[in-house]
Amino acid sequence: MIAIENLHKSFDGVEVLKGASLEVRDGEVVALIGPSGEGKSVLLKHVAGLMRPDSGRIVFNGKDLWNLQRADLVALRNRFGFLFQNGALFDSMTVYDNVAFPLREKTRLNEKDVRERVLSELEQVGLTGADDKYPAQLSGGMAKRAALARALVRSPEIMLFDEPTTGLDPIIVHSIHALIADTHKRLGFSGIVVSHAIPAVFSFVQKVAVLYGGVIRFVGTPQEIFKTDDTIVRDFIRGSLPTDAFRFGEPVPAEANVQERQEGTV
Amino acid sequence: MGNPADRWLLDPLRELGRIPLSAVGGLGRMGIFLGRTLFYTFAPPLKFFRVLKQIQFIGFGSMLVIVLTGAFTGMVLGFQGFYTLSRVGSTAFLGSMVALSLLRELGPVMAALMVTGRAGSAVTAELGIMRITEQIDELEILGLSPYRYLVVPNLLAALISVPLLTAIFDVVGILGGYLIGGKLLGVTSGTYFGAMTDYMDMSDVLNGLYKSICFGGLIAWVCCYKGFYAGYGAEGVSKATTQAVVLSSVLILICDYFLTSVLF
Amino acid sequence: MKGRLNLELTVGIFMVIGLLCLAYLSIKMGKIDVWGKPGYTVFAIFSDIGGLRTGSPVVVAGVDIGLVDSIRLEDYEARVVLQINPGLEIHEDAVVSVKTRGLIGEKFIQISAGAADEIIKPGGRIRQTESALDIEALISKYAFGNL
Repeated sequence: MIAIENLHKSFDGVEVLKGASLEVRDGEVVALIGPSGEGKSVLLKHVAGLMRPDSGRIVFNGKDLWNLQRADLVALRNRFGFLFQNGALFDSMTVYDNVAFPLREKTRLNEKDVRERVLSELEQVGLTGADDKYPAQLSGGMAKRAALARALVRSPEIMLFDEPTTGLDPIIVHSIHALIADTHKRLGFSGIVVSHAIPAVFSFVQKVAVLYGGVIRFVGTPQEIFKTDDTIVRDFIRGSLPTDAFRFGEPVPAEANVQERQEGTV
Repeated sequence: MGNPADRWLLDPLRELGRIPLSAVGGLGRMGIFLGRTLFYTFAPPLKFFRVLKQIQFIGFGSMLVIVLTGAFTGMVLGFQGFYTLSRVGSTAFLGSMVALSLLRELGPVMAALMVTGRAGSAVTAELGIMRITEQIDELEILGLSPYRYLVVPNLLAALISVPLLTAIFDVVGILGGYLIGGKLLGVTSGTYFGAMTDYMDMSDVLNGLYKSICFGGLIAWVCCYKGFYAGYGAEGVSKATTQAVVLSSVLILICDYFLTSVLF
Repeated sequence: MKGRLNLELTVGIFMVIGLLCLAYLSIKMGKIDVWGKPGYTVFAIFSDIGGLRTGSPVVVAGVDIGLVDSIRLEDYEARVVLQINPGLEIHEDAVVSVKTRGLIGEKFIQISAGAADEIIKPGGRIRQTESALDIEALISKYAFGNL
């Protein structure tokens, strides 16, 4: 189980997270949604241990991420998969080498077994035949799928997806969602999906969390979110307010937001 | 907030105070970065293939520019030295003067500056792009240290390549000096190379070598650090690259002064 | 693995060229004897060696025949060990002197050949020495007329 407890984080005096809390049970995938610039990716990077919170804790099965021994942290990392926004493929390597990289570096498999695993993983994501291409030669959707193959090749227990479908056309969005749903069934990982693809993303997640104003404002099943009394959440879901105007409707407590506001109006 | 005394008096003071604070903070971060790099340098396994690749890039790739600049530096020294020495009638010392300037001073410094410009900037840009496209984060997620995979190979490659490049620079420079002094201005090869050998000893060679090793480490340290902590977007990377080249060049010259005063 | 071969080749070329240059500098400037020191050593005691240094040449009749191997202070006198090329014999009555090339040039050791039948054995001592000429002292003597 992953528990995010009362997370605070500021960048250059601007408070992005103001006490966000969320729980993800084993085998459960949670969709993390909310307006742009609210710090969804930041929250996700905290869960992965890539950023250190100003205060608050990230707890895995009762153990605080930032109080772990080095060996435990490495062991924990080995159970992790992270799909970055732009794929983060190593651009000095081919697709094949990218997917093989975690196996070569972290396991003692021989090259024949590596080849088998990599090719089957590439087949799963529908990239058969693209193995000798370099990331720069791939389209956005292909890069995402290659990155997904690399994340899944180690059969992770925890998967974090940072906007897996942003900037892709609807057909590919659908195929990537189907791919995630599929692998979830196959591997049974727990995970968090940061996404703007509403309501498509609801089709395969067990829970939905809304990050708004630096806190998790709503947690519930996809069915519950349509029935919520919280007007802001409801409005956000319906998309009745554009993201920018949305921001102005909110009381601004932190002084840092004043600057942002001026930039918006001028 | 809003209080005019605050805004006109205290805020500028606060900003002023922030400058040394952030400078000291940056220095501390650079120190921690170096410490971690050294830790992973000595903690096996070493990524030998990546070290080779970086030697190819930093060393082999810089050879042409080193030969070119070395030849012309030596040729200028040949000219200047000859005219200066001919005023006091001791052009026989041309060889030792050219060799001395190159070995102790110009070789290490010029070679280091050339490597900074050609390879250091590229290292910063590459690491910076890896940072902003989250490839460095990806390594962390895979449980692999980005220091081991990206920084240590650069450090080792620079420590090996820069002294060798300096040696090439020195030899080419000495030949360049001979080309001018000997072939053009009429100092005989016996006088040129004889004076060179007579008035130089191992300490000159070693001093140059120590300097170039220090400079190699310095270049790798500064350029990797700047790339590793590059800001966001293309602007962040371009800024980091500029800063890396400027900082590394300035530090090479400052460091050169202190090394000279310590070594001699 | 063509790329790998290429990589190893280029790195190899670079390392060889670099090391050759380094070796050239060390041998030429540092006067390092790569093949060990040939010949044998003799020593001499001087009261003053001026600016003589290890590595300074040793000449007979203007021809280099060896170099200064080491200099040590012994009883407030300088004990200078000379490395002599093989095949050259030094007679018992030879005279070693510290000379200067030109007016302000480098110091070197000159051995004037003797005629005695006895030959100095390796490790032996040349007894007759002539210390460095103190040019400054000479000039001041001359200038101030205290000849």
